[in-house]
Amino acid sequence: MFEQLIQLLISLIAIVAVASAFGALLGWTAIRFKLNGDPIVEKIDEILPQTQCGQCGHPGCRPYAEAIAKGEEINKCPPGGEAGIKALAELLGREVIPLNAELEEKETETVVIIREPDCIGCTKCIQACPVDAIVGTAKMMHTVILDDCTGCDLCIPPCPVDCIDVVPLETAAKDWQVPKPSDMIPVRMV
Amino acid sequence: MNQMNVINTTHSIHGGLHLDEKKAPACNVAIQEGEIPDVVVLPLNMHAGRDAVAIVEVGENLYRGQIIAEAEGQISANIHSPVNGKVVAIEPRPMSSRSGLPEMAIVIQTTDTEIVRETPCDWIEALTESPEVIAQSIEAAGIVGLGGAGFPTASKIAASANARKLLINGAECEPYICCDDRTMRDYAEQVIGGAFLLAKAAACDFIEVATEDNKPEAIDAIKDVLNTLPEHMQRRIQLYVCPTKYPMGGERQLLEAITGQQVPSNTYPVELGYLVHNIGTALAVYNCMTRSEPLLSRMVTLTGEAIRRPGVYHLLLGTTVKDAIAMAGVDETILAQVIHGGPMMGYPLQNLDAPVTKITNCLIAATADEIPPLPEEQPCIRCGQCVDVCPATLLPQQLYWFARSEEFEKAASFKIHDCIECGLCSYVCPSHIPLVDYYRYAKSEIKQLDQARIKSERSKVKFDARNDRLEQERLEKERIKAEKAKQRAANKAANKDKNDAVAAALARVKAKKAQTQQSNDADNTSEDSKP
Amino acid sequence: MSLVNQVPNIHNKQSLSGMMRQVLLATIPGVLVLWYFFGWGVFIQLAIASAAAVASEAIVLKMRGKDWRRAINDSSALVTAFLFAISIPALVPWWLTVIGICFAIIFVKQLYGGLGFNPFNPAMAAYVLLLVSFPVLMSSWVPSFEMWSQRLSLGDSLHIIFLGSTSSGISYTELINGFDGYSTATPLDHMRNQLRLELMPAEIADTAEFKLMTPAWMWANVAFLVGGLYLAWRKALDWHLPLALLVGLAGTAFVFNLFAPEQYPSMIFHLLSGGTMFAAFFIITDPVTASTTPKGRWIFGIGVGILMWVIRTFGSYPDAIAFAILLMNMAVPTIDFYTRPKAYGER
Repeated sequence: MFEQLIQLLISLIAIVAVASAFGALLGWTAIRFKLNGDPIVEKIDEILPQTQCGQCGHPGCRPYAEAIAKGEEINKCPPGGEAGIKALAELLGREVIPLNAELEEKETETVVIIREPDCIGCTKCIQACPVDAIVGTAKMMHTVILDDCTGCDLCIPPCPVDCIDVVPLETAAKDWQVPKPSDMIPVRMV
Repeated sequence: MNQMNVINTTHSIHGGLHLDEKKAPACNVAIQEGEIPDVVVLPLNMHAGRDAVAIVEVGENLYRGQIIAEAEGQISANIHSPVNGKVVAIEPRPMSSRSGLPEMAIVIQTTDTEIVRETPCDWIEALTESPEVIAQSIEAAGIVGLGGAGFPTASKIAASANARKLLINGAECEPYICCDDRTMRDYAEQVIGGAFLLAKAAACDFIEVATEDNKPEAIDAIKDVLNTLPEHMQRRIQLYVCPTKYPMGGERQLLEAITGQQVPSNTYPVELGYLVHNIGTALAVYNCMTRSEPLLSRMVTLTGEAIRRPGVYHLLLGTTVKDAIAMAGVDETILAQVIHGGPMMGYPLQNLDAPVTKITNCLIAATADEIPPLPEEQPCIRCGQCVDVCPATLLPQQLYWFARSEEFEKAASFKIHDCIECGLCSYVCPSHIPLVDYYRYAKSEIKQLDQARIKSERSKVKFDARNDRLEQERLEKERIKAEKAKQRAANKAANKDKNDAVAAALARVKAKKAQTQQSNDADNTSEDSKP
Repeated sequence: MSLVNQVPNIHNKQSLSGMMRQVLLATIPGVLVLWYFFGWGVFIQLAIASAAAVASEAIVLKMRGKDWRRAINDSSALVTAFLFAISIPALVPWWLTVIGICFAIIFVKQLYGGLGFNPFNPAMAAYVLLLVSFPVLMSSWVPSFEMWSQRLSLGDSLHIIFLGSTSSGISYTELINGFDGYSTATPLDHMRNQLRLELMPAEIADTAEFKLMTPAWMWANVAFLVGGLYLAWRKALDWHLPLALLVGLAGTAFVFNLFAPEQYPSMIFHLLSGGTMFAAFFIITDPVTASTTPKGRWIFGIGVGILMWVIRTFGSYPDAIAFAILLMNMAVPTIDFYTRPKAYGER
C-alpha cells in the first residue's frame, strides 16, 4: 500500500510539474510577445465608412471605433450597413446582429445639393459639415463639393431656410453594378 | 520578290476547347456594302476611356467625316459624322451595351444618301510620312481597336514605346464571327498596308500576322500579297498560322502560341515586346492614311438563322441594329433575340434601336431554337471541367465559391482579374452555373469596394483636417486670450509702478503732514507749559 | 434590374442528370457479372437502396424547403444508392440496407448542405457505419455459385433478405455455415488469413479453394473496368483519378512484392480482387468529395491507392476502400490549398 501511495505521489508531482512548466511558458510568451498599443482600433476604423455622421452617437467614426474596441455594440452604423456589421463581426469574433432598430439604413447612397437661389449665406451648414465638403463664406454663395459629400445629412437641421435637398447618388452607365446571378431571374427580351 | 513561307505555331495554349464554328454561310459571301441609314445615332462613348465631348449643336449641318466630338483626356477618341446630315438631337439614347442603359448620343438625320469615297493613294507613298504624322493622323481619325475592346489606338501606340514587334491579330476564334476572315480575303493588300503604317507609327521593326488554320482562303490571300512585296519589306513581316481552338484570338493566348511565353499577370503584351492590333484596325489605319478618311464605318458580321442574307457587311457607325438586320433581310416572325457580339462573349440586346458602334463586331439574329434559354443553375458538383478548359490557368471553381459567398479579397488573391471572360467555364459546366456572370459580379463589387475605400480615406483625411483646423483655431484663440491677459497684467504692472510712485508720493505727503501736525501739537503743548 | 444576360449564350449540352445517368449505365456490366456469380441478391439490394434513397432525399428536401421534384431529377441519390448496394454483401437483411442508405443520404449528404456540399463520400461513410455496427453481417459474403454448386432462387433470395431465412426455413447464418467447410470470405480475406498462417502468396494462390473463389471477383473487376473505360471515353469522369488510384495501389504492391514476394501478394492480385476497379472508376471519381486542382487529384488518387494497400496488408479489415477514401476526403482541403496552379505568367 505504501508503494501505491508513492506511485500516486510521483504521478501527482509529475502532472503538477508539467502543468507549471506549460503555464510558465504561456506566461512568458504573453509578456514577450505582447502587442504595443491597440491596433484593433485602427482596423475597426478602416472598416467604418468614415461618413462622420454621428448617427452612432459618437462625434465621428474614430470615437465609435474606440468605443467598439471597448465593447460597444457593432450595429450602430447605418452607412456601413449590413456589410459593415458583417466585416466588424468577422474582425472581432462577435456575432452578426441586425442594425439597431432605432436607426434606419438608406436605400441608396445620397448626397446633398444646395438650392442656390434660396441660400442666404449664413455659414451654418459649413460649420456643421464634418468633412468640410461645403465651400462658401458669410454672405457669399455656399456650394456642396459632391465628390466629398458623405451623405451624413448633418447640414440639413442647421439651415434656417431649408434650402438643402437630399438627392440619390446616380450611377453612371459606366459604373453599372453587375447584379449577382443568384439574385436574378433570367428573362430575355427582344 | 520571293515566295514567303508560313510558320505554323508550335506552342500550345492552356485549356481552350474546340467549338462548333458556325461561320458558314456568312463567311462564304464577299463583304457587302451596307445601305445608308436615315438616322444615325453616335454615342459619345464608343471606346475605352473617357467620353468624348460634343462640339456640334442641334440643328447644325454636317458633312461626312466632320468631327462632331473631341477626345477628352489621355485615353479617349474623336468621333466623326459618317453621313452628310443634320444634327437633330444630342440626348440620352438606349445603348448596345450589356446594361442597355441610355447614354448621351448625337443623333443625325441623313440628308444625302449618296456617299462618294476618295480613291486611295498608294500606301507605299503614305509610308513615307514620318511616324509622328502617322500617329497624329490615327489620333485625329478617332481610330480605336476594332477587335471588340475599343482601346484608342493612338494611346496604345504611345503606351507601347518599348514594343519592337507588331502583332496583327487575325485569329478570329469565336463561332459565327467572320469579319476579320472576310477582310483578309477581300482587302488583303489594304490590311498589309495598314500593318506597315502602324509599324512605322509605333516604331516597330517586325510585323507578325497571325491567323487560325480554319481560314485557308485568308491565309492564301495574305500570302499572295506578301509575295508581291519588295524584298526589304518581306524581311520585316511574317505570317503565322495557329491551330483552331477557342480562345486562340485572345491576345495573351495568341502570344503564348507564337512565342511560348505568357504575358505576366497584371501586365500587357508590351512586357514581351509586342504591340497587338486587330485586322480591322489595320484596315482603318490604311483608310486614314490613304484616303484621309477618319473612322466612319466598320465590318460587322450579320448572321443567325433569322437572317436571310447572312454575311459580313460594311456598315456605317451609328446605324441602328434594327436597320442593320433589316439590311440583311431579317425574318421578324422567327426572331427571338439579337446578340451583340459572338455567342461566347456577346450579350442579348435589350433594345433594337441601339446603334452599331466601334466595338460591334457581330450581330446574331437568333431564333428561339438556335440559342435556347439556358436551364436553371444547379449546385456545383466540383467536377473540375471548368479548370480543365480555362485558358488563363485559373481555378474557376474556387472563384465561383468566393464570388458567391462574397469573399472578394480571396477572389482577388486567386487572380480573378486575370479572367478574360471567354466563357468556356460556363460553357462546359454540367450544372449550368453562369460562372462568368459571377466573376463579372465579383469584379464590379471589387471595383466598387476599392472606390468606396478611396472615398472613405478621403473623408477621413478631410475630417481629420477639419478637426485640426478647429483645433488650430481654438489654440489661436487661447493664445490670443493668453496674450491679452499678459498684456493686461503687464499694463497693470506698468500702472502699478506709476501707482506705486503716486502712492509713495501720497504716502510721503501724508507722512509729512503727519509730521507737521505732530510738531504743531508739540509747539502747542510747549506754549501751554509757560507761566 | 430583373434581367440577366447569361454569358455565354451557348452551352455544350452536358447536364448533371446526363452525367449521373451515364454512371448508372456504366455499372450495368458489373452488376450483371455480380448477378451471374452471386445470385439475385444484388438486384434486390439495388431496388431497396434506390427506393430508400429517393424517398429519404425527397423527405429531407421537403423539410429543407427546397423544390424536391426538381432536385430528385438529377439522379444523384440513385447513383449513391447504386454504389452503396454494389458495395455491400448481396444477401444482407433489408433493414441493414435501408439504415445504411438513409444514413448516407440524410446525414452524410443532405445535412452537410445537399448535392455538392458534402465533404465525405456518402456511400463509403454508410458502408463504414454498417461495418463497424454490424461486423458479422457485413462480413457474410455470398459465395459464388461455383463454390456453392447451387444457385439460390429469386424467391429464396427475397425470402432471406426480407424475412431472414429461406422458404424452407433455413436461416441465413445456417445456410452460410452449413456450407461444406469452405469459408465465406472473399479472396482478399482468404489471402490475409492464410498469410497469417505463414504461407506464401504463391502457395496460397495455388490451392484449389483459392482457384475456385477468385474468378467471380476477377470477372467483376473486369466488368467494372469496362464500365469505367466507357465513362472515361464519354468524358463523364476525370480519368486522372482512376489512373492515380491504380498507379498508387499497383505501384506499392509491385514494389513490396518485388522485395518480399513471400510476404506480399502480387500487383495483379491487388488490381483484380475486392472492389479495386469499382473503387477506381466509380467511387473515387465522385467529383464532390475528390480534390479539385489537377495536381491535387493526382495526390488524392495516389494517396487512396497507397492507403488501400496499407490497410489491406496491415489493417484489420480485408477490403480497405471505404477507409482509404474517407481518410483522403479529410485531406482534400489541405491538398487543394497547397496545389493551387500558378497564376498566368508566373512561369
